[in-house]
Amino acid sequence: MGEDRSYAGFIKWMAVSLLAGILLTVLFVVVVDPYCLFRLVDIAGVNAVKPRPDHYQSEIKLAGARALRPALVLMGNSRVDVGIDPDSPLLGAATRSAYNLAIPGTGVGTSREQFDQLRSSGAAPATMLLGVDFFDFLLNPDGADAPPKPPPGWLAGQRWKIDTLFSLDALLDAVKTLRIQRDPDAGTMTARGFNPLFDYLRFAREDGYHSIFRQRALENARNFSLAPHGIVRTGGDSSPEWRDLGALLDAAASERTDVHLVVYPYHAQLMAMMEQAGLWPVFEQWKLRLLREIARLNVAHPQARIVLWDFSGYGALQCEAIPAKGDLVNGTRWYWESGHFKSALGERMLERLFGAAPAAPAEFGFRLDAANADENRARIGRERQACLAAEPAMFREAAAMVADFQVRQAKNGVAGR
Amino acid sequence: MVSLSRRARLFLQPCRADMLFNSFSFILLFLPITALGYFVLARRSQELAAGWLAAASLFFYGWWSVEYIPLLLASIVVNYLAGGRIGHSEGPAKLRWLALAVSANLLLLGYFKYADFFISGANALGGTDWPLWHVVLPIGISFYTFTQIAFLVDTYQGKVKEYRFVHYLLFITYFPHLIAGPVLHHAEMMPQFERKESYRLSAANVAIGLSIFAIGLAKKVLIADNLSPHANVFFNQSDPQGLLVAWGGVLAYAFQLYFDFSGYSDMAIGISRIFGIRLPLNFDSPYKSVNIIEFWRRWHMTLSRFLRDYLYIPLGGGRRGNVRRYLNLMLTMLLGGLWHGAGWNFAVWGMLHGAYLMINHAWAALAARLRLPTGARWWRLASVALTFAAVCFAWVFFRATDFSRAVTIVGAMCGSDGIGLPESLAAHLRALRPLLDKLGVTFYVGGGTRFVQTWLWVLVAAAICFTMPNTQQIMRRFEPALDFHAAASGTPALPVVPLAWLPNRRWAVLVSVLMLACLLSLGRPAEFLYFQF
Repeated sequence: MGEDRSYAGFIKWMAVSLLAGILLTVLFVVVVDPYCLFRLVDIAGVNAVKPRPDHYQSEIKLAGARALRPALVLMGNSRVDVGIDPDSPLLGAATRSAYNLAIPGTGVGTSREQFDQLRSSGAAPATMLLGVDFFDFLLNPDGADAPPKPPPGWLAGQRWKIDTLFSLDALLDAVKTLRIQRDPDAGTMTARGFNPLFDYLRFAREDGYHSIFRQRALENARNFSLAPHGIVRTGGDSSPEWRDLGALLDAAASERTDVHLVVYPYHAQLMAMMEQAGLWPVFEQWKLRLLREIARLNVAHPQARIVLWDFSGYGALQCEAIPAKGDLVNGTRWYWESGHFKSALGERMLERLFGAAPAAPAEFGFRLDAANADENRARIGRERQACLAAEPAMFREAAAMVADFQVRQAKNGVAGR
Repeated sequence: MVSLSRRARLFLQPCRADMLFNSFSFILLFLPITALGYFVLARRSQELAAGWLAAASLFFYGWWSVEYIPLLLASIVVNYLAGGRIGHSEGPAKLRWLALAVSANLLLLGYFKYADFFISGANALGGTDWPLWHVVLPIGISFYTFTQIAFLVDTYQGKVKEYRFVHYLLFITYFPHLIAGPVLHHAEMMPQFERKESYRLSAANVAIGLSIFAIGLAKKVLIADNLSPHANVFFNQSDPQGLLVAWGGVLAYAFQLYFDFSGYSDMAIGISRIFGIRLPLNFDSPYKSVNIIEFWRRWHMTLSRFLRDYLYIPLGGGRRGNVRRYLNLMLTMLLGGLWHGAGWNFAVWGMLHGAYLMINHAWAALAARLRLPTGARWWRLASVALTFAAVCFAWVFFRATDFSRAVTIVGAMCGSDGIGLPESLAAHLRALRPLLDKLGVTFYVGGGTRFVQTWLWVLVAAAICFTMPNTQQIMRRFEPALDFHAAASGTPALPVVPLAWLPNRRWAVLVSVLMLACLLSLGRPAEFLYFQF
């Protein structure tokens, strides 16, 4: 009997301490609020700076956008996430409340879903800056589309709310929030969804920009060499990515949202690797296909206001010199590495899009339409000549990295991951 | 009505795959409801309670793959009837019934598990181009088929005394073991389903069961799931990047597999204990084994027991001389390897262990003749290290995506690719640079965080694995498992932290902290590795 009591006592103590632990954890997360979801306490030096979430970024950002109801949303992938700051004075001056909804590693499909969510909650923005990434559109023309994912059920749709309140990630992020308030190198996300990528500053200081550029370039050499060379399926003259883009533009037109469609300013090193991998003609086809999509939209929605900006090229900004190996002193002004530009360059882009007197070179950000496509090609050709003359070693190394991967691939029969 | 059911399905559909021991739906809904129903019904009738538990187990299985419930039920009914035939026959008819029933089981397993393996093998050997059948493997089929083959053989040998269908149904479908074992013996389970105490709610069983479950859950979600991304990245990348990266990746997998599967087994034992049913042990700190023979007595013990009793011994075991013994060992291990999956990698893994066992037996005989100091502490420590290394080399073939990749990894583990370190570590190792240069250490771009995290998790897992007592040792005062004997493992080669569970407040708080950490980590439940077998 006494033994039974001790077991029953054990169960009671276990249940009570478990319940107390759960309640304390939830309370701690709500008060510290690492994802800016509850907004009950906001004290500078205590919890004002928030860590960048590793999970549920789309849901967290969407919740932020719904709460702030911005006039301008910035959409795209990691290039917009780290490159365009919605707190830019330029946007403030234009009295545009902006929010960065870009999600790393995602394509247009995610932007479409986010826009639909904003619409359904009555928070469709007046203006949308949408970054489109050429590499997201690449596919094997003869392949088959993956079957569409079924929409998540109601329970699954709510799962993120539980996990951002009661999970190890939420608890650790709450602790991290308290820890990073005065850490200049912490990975953070601003209240408007921007990722300043401060954590790269430490890598740059310790390893140098050359190392960061090289690591990305090696990945690009592999990815570009293995990339398929098509942008539409052979049968249907389309793809899920194009269909998502079309649906998003249609939705934006229906909501009378102005759209600035942006071709990213890839660094010259990346562009040179793209050339070496034989992707350049596909890149040009892709831009023409974007123009076709806009033409279709204008027919379907005569009231639609959409502009295509081509920031790709080899201009002075994109041709920024890469610091030498071992150089831990000199940094870069415009690029983190060849795929991701800094917010300083994002600022130049915003000036081109929304500013009255842009400070960027006149040809940075070409307003592309069906009539000036040849002129755009000629511009890029001119820029390439100048960049090649200024940075011949960069072009050589870029070409060598791709060629080296292709030789190794042929030798080892490395067909994929 | 149709639209309502569709809506209900849509509501629940994404949670279907979540019915794992390490999921909220299992811990907060399935387990409490099943236990409550079981003990309430047990007050009225034991048969009713056993029926309820069997029905709940079928529901659990159906949550995974509802389309294979008829197959499972058909297999149960046919084997039950065959068992009756074998039990009631005499002479050659008895053997004929056994042969027929065992063949039917093997054919079923062969079709679902090995059809494509044999077709591709025939295509490769004969130059034919027969299309593959792409048969989907029903979850748990390897486990429930083996359990029933054991039942048939036991019946033939006259060891089966109990034939109530509801108990047999429960014996096979019992949800703690249905999906991934342990492989149970009819003789060890049926008496428990008979016993009155099994149907009485006991605070002792609940406290002990929950504690064992919490330890198992912690092994899975706090250790194995944190090792998993590092092991996966390593085995999926094309370039092993030298000795340290290769060992980091392989060790991450070795510990992931151990904590994953032994964690699952602990959870199964703990859950079953809540219902008053004790399951047999499946793991007993296998990585602390001093040789491969001992490793196989401590790793996946119920499968080893099955292979020994129903394959190795019927083949003749060691009774017909050394050559036959070695042949039998190799054949048993080869089939044991293929039981894990239809692939050459599993065959190679099995044969490698067969070869290890042969060498072990030969070496043991030689060591005894030469009177080597095999009992000395330093000898035993070296033996543990050697055994663990041999097991790790074999895991490469078990896990690698193809044979050539496995060979590349083994080469890298032996230093064929040199020693590479991430460039980001170079600045921190400046003082060691001359030594590193002398050793031929090179530096590669990228992967610094992955390298450091992999080794940190490997060190944490190794520390727990080699210095902590295992679950049954922690619970040793409370008969944690069916065949647990506190001193069975003999003298340990390594000292362990002395930890012994007691039903007191300190342990209650400790277990609840462990449980809280686990609940916090359940956000993304990951499947158990052994579900694929």
